[in-house]
Amino acid sequence: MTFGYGTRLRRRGYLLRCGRQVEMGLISKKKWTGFFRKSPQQLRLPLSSCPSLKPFRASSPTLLYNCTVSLDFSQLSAQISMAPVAPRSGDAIFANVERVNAELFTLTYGAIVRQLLTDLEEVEEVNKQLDQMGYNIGIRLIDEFLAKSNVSRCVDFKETAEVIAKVGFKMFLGVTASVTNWDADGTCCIIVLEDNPLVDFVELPDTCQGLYYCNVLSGVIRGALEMVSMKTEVTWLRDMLRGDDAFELQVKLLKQVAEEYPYKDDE
Amino acid sequence: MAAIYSLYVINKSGGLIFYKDYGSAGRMDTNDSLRMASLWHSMHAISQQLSPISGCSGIELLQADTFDLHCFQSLTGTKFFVVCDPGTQHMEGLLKHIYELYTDYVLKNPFYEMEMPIRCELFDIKLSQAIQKDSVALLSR
Repeated sequence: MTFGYGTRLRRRGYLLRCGRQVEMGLISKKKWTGFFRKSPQQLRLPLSSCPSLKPFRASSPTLLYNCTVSLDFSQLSAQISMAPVAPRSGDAIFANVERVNAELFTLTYGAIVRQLLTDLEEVEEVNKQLDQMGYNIGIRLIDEFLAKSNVSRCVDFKETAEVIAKVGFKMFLGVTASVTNWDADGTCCIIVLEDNPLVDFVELPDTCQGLYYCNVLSGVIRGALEMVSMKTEVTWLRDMLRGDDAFELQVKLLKQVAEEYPYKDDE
Repeated sequence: MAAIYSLYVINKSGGLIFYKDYGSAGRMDTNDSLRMASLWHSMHAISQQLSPISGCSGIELLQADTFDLHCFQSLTGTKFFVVCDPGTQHMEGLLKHIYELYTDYVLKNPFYEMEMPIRCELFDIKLSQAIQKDSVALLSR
């Protein structure tokens, strides 16, 4: 078995393959480190220097070289089939995806909430139903988000929250949110939405005072995070429809379920 | 155009949810494709464990004398892999594109149930288009 061949060796950096003959390496900034089946000279890459070239594992059928080399990226891009894919900003994605008329969206959502109120009668039940609907959306939406934003695995929950606020909200709702009020261990924060297209024409009547009109959003976040193995609890702290000056969502990380193999027999 | 033999999609628990042959070589019957999918799922998991470096995301490319197998796993655990001619280029780009098609035409289909076999005609159509496109178009993506 060639060492790590065909697998990503390190989280940061990018896996490169140049055609069939070569092989792989990792780019971090301007250095390319990794294990190659051929020496850098044989790779025919525009290498400006090969400071630490040494055979890595002579016992394997193919000699592997472990080396760190500096690369000139301007020349490199033409020769390498897979350029590193940079994460895209929320604005860039929003500009590229198909959009619908905002009013149509707002009014459709309004009609759904109205219908739920008629069907379920209890405001509490409507809150629950909206959350469930959001959850069902979230577990599907996460894949679209990952596919189109090119974001890679987040290092910690703080990064996750930032990505939701800056890229996620922008991509799907066209607004950006900010993240504040982190607790000491970094598992609970507040996402503040100053602009919310869902509520453009909404005034809550007295009969619906307990309604969390935008409860679908909290469900979406909960569902989406669950699919990337984070159990969360998402609650509304402040709601402009109830007279507050912003929308505030509290996102609390309950449990991070690591994807571990093999699954234990008793699970 | 280099040949792509087949495409597989496996859900996060290792079940085959989509399989399609492209071309005449390397066809498999239903049982073999299911076997292949669960075998790959396990091998992928084992490779993560074997890797000496932590945070390894599993095998991305398997090279054999007569075919290459390129695999892409999304962060949600769904795996997409193509079996193609040895040395076929730009498969990472293609798999990424197939992932986007999956999010658009499978996940957004309200009648598709999560983790279940994919039977969506639009997805089939878009997929054939993507696979038939020549590799130059894929490269410029």
